[in-house]
Amino acid sequence: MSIWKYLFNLEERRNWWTRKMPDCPLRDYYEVDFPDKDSDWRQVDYLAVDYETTGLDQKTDQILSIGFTTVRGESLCLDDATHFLTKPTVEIPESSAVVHGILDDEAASAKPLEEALPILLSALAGKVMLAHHAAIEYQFLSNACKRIYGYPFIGPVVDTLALEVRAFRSRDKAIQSGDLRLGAARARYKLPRYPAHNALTDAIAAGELFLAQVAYRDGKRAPKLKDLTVIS
Amino acid sequence: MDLQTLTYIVVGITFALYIGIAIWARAGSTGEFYAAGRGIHPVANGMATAADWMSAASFISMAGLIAFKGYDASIFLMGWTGGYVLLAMLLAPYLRKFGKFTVPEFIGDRYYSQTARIVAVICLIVASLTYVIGQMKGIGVAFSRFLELDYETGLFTGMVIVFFYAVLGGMKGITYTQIAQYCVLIMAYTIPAIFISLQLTGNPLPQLGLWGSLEDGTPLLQKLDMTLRDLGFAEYTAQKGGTFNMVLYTFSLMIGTAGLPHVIIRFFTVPKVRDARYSAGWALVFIGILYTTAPAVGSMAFYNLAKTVQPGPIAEVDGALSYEERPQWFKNWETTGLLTFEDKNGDGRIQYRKGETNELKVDRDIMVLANPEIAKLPNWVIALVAAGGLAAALSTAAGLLLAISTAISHDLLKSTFAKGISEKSELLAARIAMAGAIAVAGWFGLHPPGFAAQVVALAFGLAASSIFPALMMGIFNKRVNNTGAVVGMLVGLGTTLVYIFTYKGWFFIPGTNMLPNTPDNHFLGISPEAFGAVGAMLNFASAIIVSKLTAEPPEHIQHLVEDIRVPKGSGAAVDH
Amino acid sequence: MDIELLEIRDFLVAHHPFDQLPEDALNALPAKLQIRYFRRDASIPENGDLESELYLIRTGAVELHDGEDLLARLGEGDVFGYRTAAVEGAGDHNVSAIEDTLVYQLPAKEVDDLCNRYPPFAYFFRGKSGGRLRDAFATLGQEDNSQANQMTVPISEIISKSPITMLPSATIRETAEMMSGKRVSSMLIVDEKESLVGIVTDRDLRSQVVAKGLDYNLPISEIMTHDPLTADIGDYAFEAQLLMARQNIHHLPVTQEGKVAGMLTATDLTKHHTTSAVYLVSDIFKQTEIERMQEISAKVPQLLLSLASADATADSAGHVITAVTDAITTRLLQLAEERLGAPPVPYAWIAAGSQGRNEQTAKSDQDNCMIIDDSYDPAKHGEYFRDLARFVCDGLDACGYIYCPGEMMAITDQWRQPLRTWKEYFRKWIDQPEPKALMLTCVFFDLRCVYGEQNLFRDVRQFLLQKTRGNRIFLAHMAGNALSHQPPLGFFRNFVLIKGGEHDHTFDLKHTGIVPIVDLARVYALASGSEAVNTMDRLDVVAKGGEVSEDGARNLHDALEFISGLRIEHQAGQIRVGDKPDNYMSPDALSNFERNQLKDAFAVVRTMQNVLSQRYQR
Repeated sequence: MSIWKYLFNLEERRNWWTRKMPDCPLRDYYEVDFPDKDSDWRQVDYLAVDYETTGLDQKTDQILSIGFTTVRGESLCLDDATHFLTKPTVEIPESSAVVHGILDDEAASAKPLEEALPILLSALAGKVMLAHHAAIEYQFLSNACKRIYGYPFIGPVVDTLALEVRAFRSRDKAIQSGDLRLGAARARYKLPRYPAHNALTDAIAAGELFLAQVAYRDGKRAPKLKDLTVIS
Repeated sequence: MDLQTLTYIVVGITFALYIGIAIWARAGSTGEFYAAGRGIHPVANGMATAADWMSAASFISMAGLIAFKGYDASIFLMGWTGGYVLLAMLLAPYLRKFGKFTVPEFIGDRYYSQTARIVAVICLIVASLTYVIGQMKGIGVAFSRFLELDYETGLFTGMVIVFFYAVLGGMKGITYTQIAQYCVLIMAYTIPAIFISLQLTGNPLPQLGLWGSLEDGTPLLQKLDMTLRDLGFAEYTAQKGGTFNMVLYTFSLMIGTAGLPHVIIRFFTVPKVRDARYSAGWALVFIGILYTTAPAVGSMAFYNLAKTVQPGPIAEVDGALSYEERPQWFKNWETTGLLTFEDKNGDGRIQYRKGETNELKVDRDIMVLANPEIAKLPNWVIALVAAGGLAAALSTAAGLLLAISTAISHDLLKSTFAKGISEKSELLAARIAMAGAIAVAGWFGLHPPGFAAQVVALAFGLAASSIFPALMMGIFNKRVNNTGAVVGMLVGLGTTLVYIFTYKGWFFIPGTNMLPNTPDNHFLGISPEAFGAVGAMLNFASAIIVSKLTAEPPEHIQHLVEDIRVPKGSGAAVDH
Repeated sequence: MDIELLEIRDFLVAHHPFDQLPEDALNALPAKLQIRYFRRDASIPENGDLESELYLIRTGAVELHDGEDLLARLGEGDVFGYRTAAVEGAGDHNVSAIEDTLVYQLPAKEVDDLCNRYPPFAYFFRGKSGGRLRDAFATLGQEDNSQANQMTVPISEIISKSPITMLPSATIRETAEMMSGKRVSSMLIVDEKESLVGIVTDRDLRSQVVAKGLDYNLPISEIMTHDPLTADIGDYAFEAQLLMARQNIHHLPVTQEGKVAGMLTATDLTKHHTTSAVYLVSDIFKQTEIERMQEISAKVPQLLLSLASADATADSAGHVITAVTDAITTRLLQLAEERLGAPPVPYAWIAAGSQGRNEQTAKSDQDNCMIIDDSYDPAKHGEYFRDLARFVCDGLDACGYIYCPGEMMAITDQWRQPLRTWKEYFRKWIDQPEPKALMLTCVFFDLRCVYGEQNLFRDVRQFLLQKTRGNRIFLAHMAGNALSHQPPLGFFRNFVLIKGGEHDHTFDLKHTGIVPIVDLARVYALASGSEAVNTMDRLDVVAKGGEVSEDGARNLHDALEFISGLRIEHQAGQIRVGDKPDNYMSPDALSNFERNQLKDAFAVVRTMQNVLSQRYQR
């Protein structure tokens, strides 16, 4: 996989997967074109995504809840804001329950991942995934797809954390520990404090942060999608 | 670890050292304001001067010439040492009193003429450029061996590195970097010499080892003479050239020293005349370490070379080395194209002889670099020598290139032809001039008109014939006027150039020479390298005659000339 | 609706008019919202069409303008946009963010829908909003004060005297007597409740009473100006100044909560700005005690502050602040001569370094020396001059000009010498430019005579300029010295910052910003033999000398102005918050634009240094 990254671009890999894959929700996702990376960022739809998980290890830990909402044309739309719990195949460790407050019996009544993934994938189709520290969202999703459909997930990604790092660099500022946390980053743009660790609230928080970061970009030209993505 | 990796590492470390010191020196100077104010000790300054002074010609080429020419090549030792003393004692103090920083400035003011200044700039550029050509040869040799490339590619690589070193580094002028360069250079030169001397004679001091005996009891020099005679060469210790030529050669090296900008400036960058003298003395000591080692390096290298290619008796067929069995260093140098073997008699053996039957061509400039390999010294020593050669070539080339670019950007453009140019354009002009000088020198480096030391000798000759007389008369003869000086410089430079081109080809282009460059064809047996002294005499003569025929210099100039020769209290005139 | 949009719902319910909505409508509302972010100074929305949405400010603040006029400032929880403007009756207006602002927007048709269904919600959009907007303006206005304070001085800081007032019934004569008795040029007329009804000035007395021959016993209300313009005590001084300039008046009553709080005169204002130095200076010359001078010199930071507020150029600020130092020095010398008697032989007191260059800022140590006439005899006169120097240097130190750490002061025997010794010094420094000498040249080649025999100073200056002019060896050494401080600009045009220690993540504006330019200018000036010592003056003069191109000199001039301007702002900021002013600035404190400009300025310095380095091969 790793070497292909350098040899083929995202769109080429999407075509590759579409041809290879049996009919499944992931294939439906791949059948929609990825947004053009050269288009104006305002012409592109983004899906701000966040999960709560049983832990941070993408190999063993599982998704507990998914929240997402759409960012379209400089505004964050709440009309398709979605949040649901997914049923883990393991018990929820106490350490993570403290963080997100999702308890086993609550989770038990949740959707199994097989039902949850298609919802997320169809929302993501044709959009750019947007998250704070997106590597986690990306990897969890990709692992889940591999487990359920046998193929990985790929797609363009905007990471607000990466954008924040760039903003620091372009201003010659030193990054202190904690500066890059979602809350800290939002505070710099005078965004309100939200209670953390609910998947939808965090997704909205990341979406707002993204709008603020783009508003703060310097330069006369509106950025293109490829100026903002980490994977494209 | 193989030799190539080790060489990269050692060269890398030395470069990192120079850059590190430069950064450290910069950072240190921006520290607390009141903490500044400590001077540089004359010993340190002497080392820096020595690094400046010793170029690729001294490091790479001189011992090679000694190896092949023996006694005759000692003129380099005498000429360069003498020239340095002459400059330090006779010229520099007076020039300094005049308060001018560069030679063209002095000549322009002393001869109250912009024309004189421009002519001086041109003379300087010609001489310096020729000097850089010599460095380029050395750089080409060093880089081609170090990167295991052919000579041309090595030279191109070297040109690029020299450009960046000179433009970006600004490492010139940071005394501590130069001290480091001297240390690398001298270690690189002496350590292999010590090892070889120990190997051959058991004496750790190469200077003494040269006069010592081999293990079998025969004195080294005697053995060397014997080997050479056997191979059909002239004896090592014999004098081959004409004495007259040798005297002129030595003179032109001596007086040429005074005209070379990068050396003279060293005397002005020291705050006190007394310090300048002390550091000149120390520099002489440090230069002496290399110069006295050179004969030993040369003769031992040649001895080792001869022993390698001719391990057995001359008379026997298998006394000569089989080409198939040639050692690794032989192969390495073959890739550079500077060592070639042509099996004329088809016996597969390397016959190294005088005359037509010779099958081995050795570029003399490779001797110092190849020396530790021939002597089978450990790899790190060989790597060290590569680093030393680069240090020597780079430090001098950078200084000269800076002088050339300043002469063009400031003396020619800013002060004469384009007075109003902005600082940005001036900097740009300097960079372009530098790149141009490197390109020109590089082109000549591809078709060198001689071995590095010989090219450098030509540069000294050009400086000797043009600049030195103008300086001398400027200080010691108040009657010489502007016209005289200009005519003198042009005559000196002109005749010398024409004489050199006659034998070396017009503008050093091979094949355009009008006479073959052999002693029989030389005018009075004077080689082109030695003609600088004659050019200088013509310069003196024409300047004095023309001055006699034209108006005296203005009175204030004559006073000025008298003033700078007054040893003390020159300021008394302005005191009241 | 997703319960997770609770956060937004909670915000809605806390703010009028959404608090009027019933539970179910409220729960459904968040999904209908869109969230937008606007950077400060952005207009909301970009196309200016406010009528398509209702906006609710989540965080930040906006201003509503009708053309030029400010209608309102709105903050968190305030609404604007659809339906709100019509009620104001203001017609078209535009909105711009004055802080980074996050808004929730609700489409017009949703608003209509809500209004139709819930009358209490609709009621909000009818009529009463004027007061609400005004409230918002008032509260925000106050908040804004604290921030704007950093830019200007409020009137309350300038006026000190309690107001002198009369009742309207007082006679003209009584009023005039009071005015002359209190030495004021104007009088405020107030009623029993202390509210202002009028003002009388000198000029009114002249033109209305004397010129017209009015009866002095008429009540003052006959001639007073009724209901004069006033300023609030919280207003900024510059606003008052603008008002006075516009109305061509010289007296402005100041009120506080409707009551008279004082009178602001043109003199108060000018005194506070550049001319305040003149007052400080004239004050200094009245003093006979060092303690009093100490008090005056303690005002220098305030002076810098007001200069910064008044947007004075760094150059003029340097001159003004140095003028105070000069005055203190001169006064101390006068006092010393009073105490010790007249000097036995002529001498000149010389300011060196930044004082010599007229470039002092808030934080300066003293650099000075003394040139004594050649008839000086150490045995006979040594004690007198030593005492003199001690008195002055101690005095300066007491006044906050701390002893020079390099001991470059007249108190050091070495720097209190007759003319011939000074010439010998300069000859030695110029002929043998050792590092130590070069370090001294940075101070002693920037000389200015502050007090005493000018001719002694001129003699030295002429001597040294004659020796340096065209002396390329010396200049090469000076050039090397001028290159020792380099601008903190990395290879890739990045700032090179101090790492670790007390000043982590900053750069030194003085040593790496200003000093390099000062040093360059000195080299140029000495090369051309110019008498100028002030860096700006030097740069203006030397362009003609050929050592530097006109372009180059102008660029350096601009770079210096910009960097010193930053330094003054930086120090003023520190003084304001009560810190000790220093030269260490963090790039974070700069706007992007300023950062780029600063990099440009540094790049100019670097180019000029490179040229010098190239020319002198250092």
